Amino acid sequence: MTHQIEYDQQNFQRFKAGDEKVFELIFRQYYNQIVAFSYSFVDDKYISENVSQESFINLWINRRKVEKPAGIKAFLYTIAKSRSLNYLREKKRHSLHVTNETDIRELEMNVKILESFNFNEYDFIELESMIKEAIEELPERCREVYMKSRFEGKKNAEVAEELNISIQAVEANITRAIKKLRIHLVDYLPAVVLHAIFKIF
Amino acid sequence: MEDLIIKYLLKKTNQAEREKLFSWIAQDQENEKQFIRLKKVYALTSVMDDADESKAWRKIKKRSFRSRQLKKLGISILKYAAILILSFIGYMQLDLNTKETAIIYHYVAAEGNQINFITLSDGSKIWLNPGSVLRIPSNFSEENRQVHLEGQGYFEIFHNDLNPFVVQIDDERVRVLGTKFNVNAYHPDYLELTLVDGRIQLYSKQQQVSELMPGEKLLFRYDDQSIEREWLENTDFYSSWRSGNLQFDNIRLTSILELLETWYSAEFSLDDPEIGEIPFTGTLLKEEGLGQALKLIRSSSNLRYRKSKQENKYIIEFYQQ
Repeated sequence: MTHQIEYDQQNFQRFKAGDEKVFELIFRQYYNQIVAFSYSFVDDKYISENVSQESFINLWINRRKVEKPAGIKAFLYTIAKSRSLNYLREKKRHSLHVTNETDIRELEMNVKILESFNFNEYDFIELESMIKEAIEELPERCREVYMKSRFEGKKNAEVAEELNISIQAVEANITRAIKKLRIHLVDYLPAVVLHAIFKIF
Repeated sequence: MEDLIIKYLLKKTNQAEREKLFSWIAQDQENEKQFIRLKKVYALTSVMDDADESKAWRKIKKRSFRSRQLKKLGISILKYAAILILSFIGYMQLDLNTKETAIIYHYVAAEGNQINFITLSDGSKIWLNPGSVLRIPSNFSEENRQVHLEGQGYFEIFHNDLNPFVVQIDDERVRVLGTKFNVNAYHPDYLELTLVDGRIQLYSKQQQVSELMPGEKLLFRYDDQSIEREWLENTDFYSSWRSGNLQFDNIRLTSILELLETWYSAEFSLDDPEIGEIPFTGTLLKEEGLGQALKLIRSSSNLRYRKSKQENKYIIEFYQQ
């Protein structure tokens, strides 16, 4: 997780006071994560980039209201959730004539999952450390591939070349990492966090 | 099955596999739970690898920091036409510390028959039809977004979930959650709202009376608080006027004439109220003038008119042939 920059209180105060440089650091740290979050529900790159951009603009406007450094991420995800939901609901309204059962199920499932997220800063602090821990526990090669792919934003082909393995091996390792992370997160997250993150209707 | 879910999350499944996955999910609650868990972990841990970060940052910078620059000026007004701004102390407000705070209002109004366009410090855009007045308090900010409207305005509001935008029309308030809409408050008896995109709520005397969906038009009568709703196939008429290029598709004559009155300092009368209900379809350019508009109405219906001039106003009487 060397890529992740830790924000100290001082930086956070500078951000709240309107320091554009710190805002840019925050942007660089989270932009791709917020895009990916939205993209996994709206399934449209253009829309998810817009959603992410709106989240940051809203964060900037409302920066004085954010109380803790961890609140930044919670704020970004909250806005991204609501914008993504708006888009999906709009899509649902406009696609009433679409009869493809799978598309409807998928759309409804995405709405349901998004609605169930309840981002609050305490959960995020916990989740962050849980994810870090879970990644640390991955087998070495698996962790290496996952980090390069997910946190350094490298394409599968690039990762394959860097580590001198096949693209299939990269894909297999990513799949393995997700599986292990899932098991770790579900089994070890404290009940209260689990409730917030995996709240199921 | 877990492999299929992961394949799906990585967006690598084909149509048949997607079908298989979603029927599996629908089969059993436990299946659904398993899917939801995995999808949540994936959504929270993945990073987009091909998003154009630098381009995005430029866009954000432009929108975030621009609004701050505008704030320094209070309100920036882009002149499409000569704009008359009056600022004076609206009223004195007493706060809890009994310290007197003056709120200064800026008035934006049209001179002549021009359509005005202004950008507020929060990034919202407003087009004002001739004869309309927008009142903006000096403490308008990204956190306090309330304006007062007389006449007709088209709004493109910058979305901010935490601080809704409020358009006040006497006792009625339109609460906005980021959106494009038209407010027509010319008429003394009713308010007409048309939502093009987003979400708006109508409040009357502190009570929410209605919420609009995109493509919906609402008529709110002040006296009995009654509401008439209408679904529009096309909202062009309510948004196109702002560019002076009026597009109407099955719009009744009364609505078109209401707008022409404000554009050309004209007054229309109908010898039979039924005439007002005749629907018209077409396009009118503001700059082509009243004569052209009348010609178009005459050529596409059996309506005829008499034109006279009183002081600076044209009086036009329509009658059926």
